[in-house]
Amino acid sequence: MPLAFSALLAVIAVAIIAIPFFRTPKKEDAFDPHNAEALRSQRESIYQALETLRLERELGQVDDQEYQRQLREYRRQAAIALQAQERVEGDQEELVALLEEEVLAARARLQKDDEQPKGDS
Amino acid sequence: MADLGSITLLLSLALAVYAAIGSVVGKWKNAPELVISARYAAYLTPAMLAISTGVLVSAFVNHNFELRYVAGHSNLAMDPWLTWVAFYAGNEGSMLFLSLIFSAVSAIAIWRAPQEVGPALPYTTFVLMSITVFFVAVMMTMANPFFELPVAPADGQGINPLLTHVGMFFHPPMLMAGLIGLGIPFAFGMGHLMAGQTGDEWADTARVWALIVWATLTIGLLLGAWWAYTILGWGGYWAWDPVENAGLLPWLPLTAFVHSIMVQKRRGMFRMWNMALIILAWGFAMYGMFMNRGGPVPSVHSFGQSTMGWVFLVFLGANLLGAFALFFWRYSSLKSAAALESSLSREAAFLLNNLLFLMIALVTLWGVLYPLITDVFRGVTITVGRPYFDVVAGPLFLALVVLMGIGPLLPWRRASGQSLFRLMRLPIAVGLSTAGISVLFGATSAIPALAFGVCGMAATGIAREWAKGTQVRHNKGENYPLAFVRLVSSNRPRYGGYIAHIGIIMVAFAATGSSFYGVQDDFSLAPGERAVLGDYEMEYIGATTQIKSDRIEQRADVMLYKNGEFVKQLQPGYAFYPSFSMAATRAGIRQTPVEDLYILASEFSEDGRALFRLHINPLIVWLWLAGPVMVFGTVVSLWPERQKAAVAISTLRTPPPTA
Repeated sequence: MPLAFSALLAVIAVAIIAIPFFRTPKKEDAFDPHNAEALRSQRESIYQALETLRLERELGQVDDQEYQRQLREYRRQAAIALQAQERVEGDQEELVALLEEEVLAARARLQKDDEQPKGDS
Repeated sequence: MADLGSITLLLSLALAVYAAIGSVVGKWKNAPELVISARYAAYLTPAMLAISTGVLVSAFVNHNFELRYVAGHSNLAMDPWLTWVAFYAGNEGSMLFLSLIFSAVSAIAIWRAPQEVGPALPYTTFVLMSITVFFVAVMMTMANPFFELPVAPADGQGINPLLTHVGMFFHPPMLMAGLIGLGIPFAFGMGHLMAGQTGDEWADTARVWALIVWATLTIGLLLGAWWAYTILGWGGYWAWDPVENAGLLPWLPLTAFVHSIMVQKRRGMFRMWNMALIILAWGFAMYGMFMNRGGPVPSVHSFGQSTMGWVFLVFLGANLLGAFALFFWRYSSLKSAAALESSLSREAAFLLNNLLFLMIALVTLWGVLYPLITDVFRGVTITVGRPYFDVVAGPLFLALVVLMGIGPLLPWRRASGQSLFRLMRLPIAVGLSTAGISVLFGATSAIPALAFGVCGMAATGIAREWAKGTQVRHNKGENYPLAFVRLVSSNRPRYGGYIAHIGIIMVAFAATGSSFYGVQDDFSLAPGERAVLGDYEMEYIGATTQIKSDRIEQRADVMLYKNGEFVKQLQPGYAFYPSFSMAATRAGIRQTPVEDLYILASEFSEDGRALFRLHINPLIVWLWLAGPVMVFGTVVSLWPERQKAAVAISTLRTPPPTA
């Protein structure tokens, strides 16, 4: 009985680890510094830093001059991050638009083929 | 059934090997299906080990003494609730426990890994599964829990009496989980290096896992101290025992890491520091395994009969070699883009924090290794006891508490000396007052007065920041309770950390009180006689003896009075276990927030006389209360935060608020 159960466990394990070879896996996410997830994370870090800067100012840990200096720097970083995000989103929008054009063109070609009389055998 | 246990161990080993190799080969060959298949194998590994564990537990429950491990750690008289303790009481069971916990947590870490560590995840999986392979392989070959005896005994040997204390339900598993859990942030760091990612992608994930492990290890250490206090019978809670130190050693760089990783997360700095700290923490954890399993120094904690110490030593060496090789291979690309802007900044405080923790770790390590070195090179063992650690590590710990008082008042990047001095005035004043009050209450030495003063200063620094932050929010229209809650809620890592700091201050407070103001005395009393210590008077009523199936228990009935008034009846005593030739004490403890009155009874003679040792241990209870405080602080720190966009954008747009 234990041996039979063990054999069953082994078969189930092999079946599970074989699954990815029989289906199309999702493309491994590559870390592209320009991709939306990385930019979102970068943006979050800047926002967190801003929140902390504001708190430190309210607590009296940072004087006006230092506050302004850091605020300018975070504004610059936020602007760069937002620009990069717009570029990515713009690229993605462009890609989506291109794909839509391709799909429409392919659909039009299929319709045209359907409308044409069948060739003589 | 033992066959099922052995086979599932083998299956788990095969799966872990496949997961390790498949991950890295799949990554190299750009074969995502192989990487994902390897990931599934990583998820299945703990499932197989869970079945092995179930088989072993079932063997205990059914008293299957055919298994050598069950026969060696249980008997027919053992209370069923001790089965959990018996499971990990010995080498074999604890190896299975470690393998199960590590593989399960690894599976969760892989499953929940965020997208930014995706490219490094196959390498992280390789490291995690390689560690799993080591533990399972060593267990199978050198400490197999399913080894069968040629002839099953009629009854088992029973469980070590020292493990029958309630603390043993939690201390060993928490400590073991904490030590092995260090492998998780270590693996993310190594995966990051192997993948050639040298930015800060791993910082968030590593921080989360490091904090979870830190809380687990901290509770494990505190529970061990509590167990020692209540059962070992010497009235103390930390003896700087080599194996106790082996549990403390990884905690030190880990604590530095959970602070230092915040600098990397915030400023992209300290990248090299953080890699080095997590490597050291993991290295020390493996060193602890070495000490516990056939290491060179015997201890109450050791699995004394184990001969696998050398295996862990080799594993430790291989890990350190590999990790530092990776570190130096990627060294030039680990350099931070940002530099320290000011020595008066939070970053500088964290740097000093790293240095202090590292120094404490080094002096502790020296204290552990020195007897071995003298034994090897001079042929004589010179023991290093408490006085060394008190003199060398004590001031460093005190410096850390000072830093805890100053750090919260320092902003990121740069502070002005003027603003810092203004902020420090109140904490310094309270610190000096606290030191003065401690002198009034009997502090005759400078050191405890200084220590109490530092605790007062640090607590005031934290309280000041809380009060100020709450006041600012109240000024904007929130009532005080709401302002307080929202202050913490909107800055969880910061204020969760401060809550944990309060726990550390409680530990420092308790350690100072108990170390410098404890008193003890011994009394030989006949029934009806009294002993006096401080304000306490103890009357010995008489002794009772109970003979149980596995032990002989002797208890003394005592009545306790303070300043002439009755406070409590206690029953200190001990139990002798003939089959183990071992006695386990049960102290009688009367606990208050101010002090413990701790009573040990031993050497009961036939005429009814007994020997008593009385201790007055001030402030001990704050040590035990610190544990839940630190865990709560960790939970607050880790609680997911809301998105900051709205607040941040308003900060960008609105004029600066004035202090």
